[in-house]
Amino acid sequence: MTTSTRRSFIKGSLAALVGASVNPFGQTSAALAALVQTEARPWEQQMRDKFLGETKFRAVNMPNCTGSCGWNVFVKDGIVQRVEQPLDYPDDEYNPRGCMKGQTYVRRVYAADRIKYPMRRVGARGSGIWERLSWDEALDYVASEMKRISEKYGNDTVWIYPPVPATGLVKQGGGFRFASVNGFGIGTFYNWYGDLPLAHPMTWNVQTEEHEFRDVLNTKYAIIWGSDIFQTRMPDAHFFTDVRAKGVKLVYIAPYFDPTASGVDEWVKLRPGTDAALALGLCHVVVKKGLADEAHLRRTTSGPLLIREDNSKYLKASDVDPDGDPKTFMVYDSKSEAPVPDVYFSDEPPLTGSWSVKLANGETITCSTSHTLFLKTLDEHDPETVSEITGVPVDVIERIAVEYASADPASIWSGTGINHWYHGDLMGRAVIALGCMTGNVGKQGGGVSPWAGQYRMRLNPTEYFFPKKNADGSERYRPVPLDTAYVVNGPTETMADKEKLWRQIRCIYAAGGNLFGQASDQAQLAKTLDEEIEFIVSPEVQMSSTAQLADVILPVVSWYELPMDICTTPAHPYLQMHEGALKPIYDAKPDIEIYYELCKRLGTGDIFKFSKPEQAADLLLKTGGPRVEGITLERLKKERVIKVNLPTDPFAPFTEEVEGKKMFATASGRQELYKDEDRFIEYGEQLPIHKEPHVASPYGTSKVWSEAKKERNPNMQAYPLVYHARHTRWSVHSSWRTTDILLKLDDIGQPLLEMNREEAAKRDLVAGKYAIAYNQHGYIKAKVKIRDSVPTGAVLIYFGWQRQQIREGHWNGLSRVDINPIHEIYFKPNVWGPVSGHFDQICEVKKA
Amino acid sequence: MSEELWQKYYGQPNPKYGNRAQYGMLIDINKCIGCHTCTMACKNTWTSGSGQEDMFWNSVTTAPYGKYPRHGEETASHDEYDYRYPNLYQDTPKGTGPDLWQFYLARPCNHCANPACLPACPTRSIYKNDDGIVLIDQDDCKGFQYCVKACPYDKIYYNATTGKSEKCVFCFPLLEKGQEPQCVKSCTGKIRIFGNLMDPESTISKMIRDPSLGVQPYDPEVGLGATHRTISEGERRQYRPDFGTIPSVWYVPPRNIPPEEVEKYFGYAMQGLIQEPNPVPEEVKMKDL
Repeated sequence: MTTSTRRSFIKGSLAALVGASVNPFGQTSAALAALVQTEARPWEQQMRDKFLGETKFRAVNMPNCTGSCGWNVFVKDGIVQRVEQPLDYPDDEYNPRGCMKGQTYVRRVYAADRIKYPMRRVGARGSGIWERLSWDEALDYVASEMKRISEKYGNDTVWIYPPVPATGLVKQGGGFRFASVNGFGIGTFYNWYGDLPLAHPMTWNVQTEEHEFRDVLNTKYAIIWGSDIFQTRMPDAHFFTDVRAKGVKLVYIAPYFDPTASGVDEWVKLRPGTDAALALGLCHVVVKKGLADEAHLRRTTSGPLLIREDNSKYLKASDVDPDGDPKTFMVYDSKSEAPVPDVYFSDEPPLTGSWSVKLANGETITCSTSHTLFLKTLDEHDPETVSEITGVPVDVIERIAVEYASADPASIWSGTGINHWYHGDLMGRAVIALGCMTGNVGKQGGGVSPWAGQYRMRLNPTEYFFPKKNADGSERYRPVPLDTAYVVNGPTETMADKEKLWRQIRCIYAAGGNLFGQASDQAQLAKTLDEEIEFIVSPEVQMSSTAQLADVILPVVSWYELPMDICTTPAHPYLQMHEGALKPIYDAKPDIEIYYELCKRLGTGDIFKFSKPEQAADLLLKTGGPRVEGITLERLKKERVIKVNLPTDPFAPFTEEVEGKKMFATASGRQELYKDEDRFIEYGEQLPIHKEPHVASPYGTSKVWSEAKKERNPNMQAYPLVYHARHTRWSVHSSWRTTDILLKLDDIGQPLLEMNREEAAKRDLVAGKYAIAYNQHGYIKAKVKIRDSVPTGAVLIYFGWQRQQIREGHWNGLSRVDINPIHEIYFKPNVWGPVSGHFDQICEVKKA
Repeated sequence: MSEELWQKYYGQPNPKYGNRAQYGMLIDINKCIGCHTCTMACKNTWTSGSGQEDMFWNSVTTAPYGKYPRHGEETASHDEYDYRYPNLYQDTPKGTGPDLWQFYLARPCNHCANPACLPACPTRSIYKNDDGIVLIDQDDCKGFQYCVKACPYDKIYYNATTGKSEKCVFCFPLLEKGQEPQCVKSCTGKIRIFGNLMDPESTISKMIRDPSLGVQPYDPEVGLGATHRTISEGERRQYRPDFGTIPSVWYVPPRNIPPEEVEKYFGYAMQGLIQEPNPVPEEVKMKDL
């Protein structure tokens, strides 16, 4: 019976395949004939029967990893059995998309730590003693507390924290809408996490612009700079290994011998936090060897713009002509020997030079082109000096510079490794300068792409996030942006607008963000929590650190139970529809339903309006703007994955700008390597320079090399190791960190302090025994792992561990993040604001 | 492998077992990112039941020190520890200073042309089916575990709940449905090619025998809805061919490790000895598991 079933099946499929003249393994029909079983093996049928009765639905996983991967979820009798990548991305290069975390999400759906019911804290905070509530009781209670706090302290002291809306626009965006209609405060995430590359708004006045990962296939040389893509960009890492297989050289720049370092052609090891120096050293060589793309610099960058020597500001038309426009930038005209208004993309103005310029007030000053000043900066970054700073050999600096500048196009893929620093903006600007210097910006296969954070929404969410107050939308309901950095750290003297941007919050609604597990500055946060926060609500799927410390927990559905959502990412160009088909487990509800119910109780239900995801999704698509024009809900339901409208395929930013078709969005219309806001001048950061790390430097901290090298950092005598709590392949931040089957594969399944043999031996530390990493702010106790990938002078811990998994202390307890005043010149939520520099940290390790 | 040897083992129906196809795999180690998606796709499909908690038909470890199972290396007295930490020493490289090396070694069952497990079975429960897939008949197996000991690759696992031994089945039920095995289909690093080694026209046969082929796009229609994959140039070899079982899983050895190490893992330098080429140094060894 079994045998005959199989035989007939194979015959059938064979016939079909031969008929279609395409056969499964590209093999001859003679070989396929071998697929005929001779002996009855009933057990084989049991294996085949595993797949009987399966139905499937296509979900999208929505963690903040930039993956946004679709999954076919196979269900039997209402229980998820397994998942598979659907292989349905129109560009086959993206198939299969999804890693082992997506493979094991099912273990989280049915995890023992799923939150089952609404619960209220009855014991001390964090004691784990709860009472079960009905949904009505819970919602009434939360709404009444929010009302009480609003009345006592003001609406904006109720703080909603719905991070990374692109992951699930309806679900996370609902938090924005909820905050808007009630006038609550709202947190930031992209800048505060340290993912926002401030160099991008500084240079290009954009939030961030990156090349789509498929564009790696167009590159001829790739530098992966401080981004451990093998661990943190799993679905897209193959683009790099693919081009390497085709002969493209991959260079990895990082202090650690990370997984990525093991899979590239050259690993360039440098001292942590000295990346800007290396980038400037590379620029130096590019200039000296005559490899600079002067046309690109002249036409599209601030290079030819004139800078006043007396005040370091850009020379403006109004400076030389009383009737001149104060917003017009000036270049030098060699014919008339005078400054003239800048014309974008002109080949006329000199790129270098200094001239006397007569001002409208009669004064005569010296003006130089900004490129001239940059060349002066580069003079201080000769390969010998850079080698002294970074530890990279001179010949390597010279060779990499020539290789990068000679390849066309050459690309740089940077990451949080050069962004999670106090001076991350300088590092980013120096790396961008290298891209500009070689004319690699705005070119497919080129560019500088800083991969961090799923910030990109692909559509304009204004109508959903900030509902209209009047018919024409000139007035809208808006939340009060309260930067998470200030919420955690308190206000600073240098913040952009203290009056507007600082409130002592009293209530936290942490919607999908594990604030009390993942925040930098845990010690400070714990203090704030004790002294100032009166009420914490944690709508959660699993018992995260934040849920454990909350006053009320609301059970939220897992993705597989969420009826629908819309998902986007910067990593690939597709808008996807998520569809979950499981019935909610226990008492769980979708976020949007919870928001709606709370709004009803707060008197804003009619404004919030949506209780079902589909209504919101429809609005988002209809009002999403040109990028999603033509993408309707009906189409999305049918096709599931639709490419958004983009100017190039694969997408590369700034192509039109560098072809002269339009100007950059900056004040000058050019790529601004030179910045002249007062604070840049005050700190001497008009141009990209190298400053020693703010904390983790053995030399003079936050100083330029010529001064820094004369000093020794006294703190590093006590805490000589650079401390990095880093992303791991096994979790997306704290998501999946408690997943049993992944813990089994993550070494010994617990936090590990990893250091090399030399550093361990110095401290008499033994692999597998407990040790304590500590500094003046806090400590963590964990077992030691000896791993020579970690450089001398550093200790690393892969992060994301929840409260209950840590023996003692907290892996973020050691971080104390000072806010860089440069980051506070402006405040635009998630576009220009405090960027966390938590890699800029030191510690000492001792035996426990 | 010489053309002569290729013809001997793959060019014709297996002289011993008569299978008229030999499914096999080509794995490009240079492209492996160590993500374990293959492992998890396999586990969710086949080994999520009782008695299979520590069982990974497909495993990925970081060579040189990673090994699954470990064979009492850490805690000599406890057999259970052999399987409990399948990815111990992940990302622990060997070497000094900047000259460090490591590589990810993904291993399903080799479905050998000359399997060691098969003749070791006292109850004749192991067989090679017509597709060349080595299977343990779960109805016949009595759990004597001779196969577990016989397999030099440690790719057979004893299930204490069922009292039988289990192993990778190359997802034969999915093959019959016209799909690639889970570890191949799910591989997000796109490092695996699957197909019939005995068919000279199959993509895999051509790619193994002509190392220049992997970098050229091949027809994505070929192979069970397979997505296109780029495979590095360079010699194709088997893992530990010195065991003599003629594995059907082939590798593109890592370019980034010392050549003498390639010979240990993918050549005959170990001369068939059942031991790891690189034992874990004392100071690196995890204590207190």
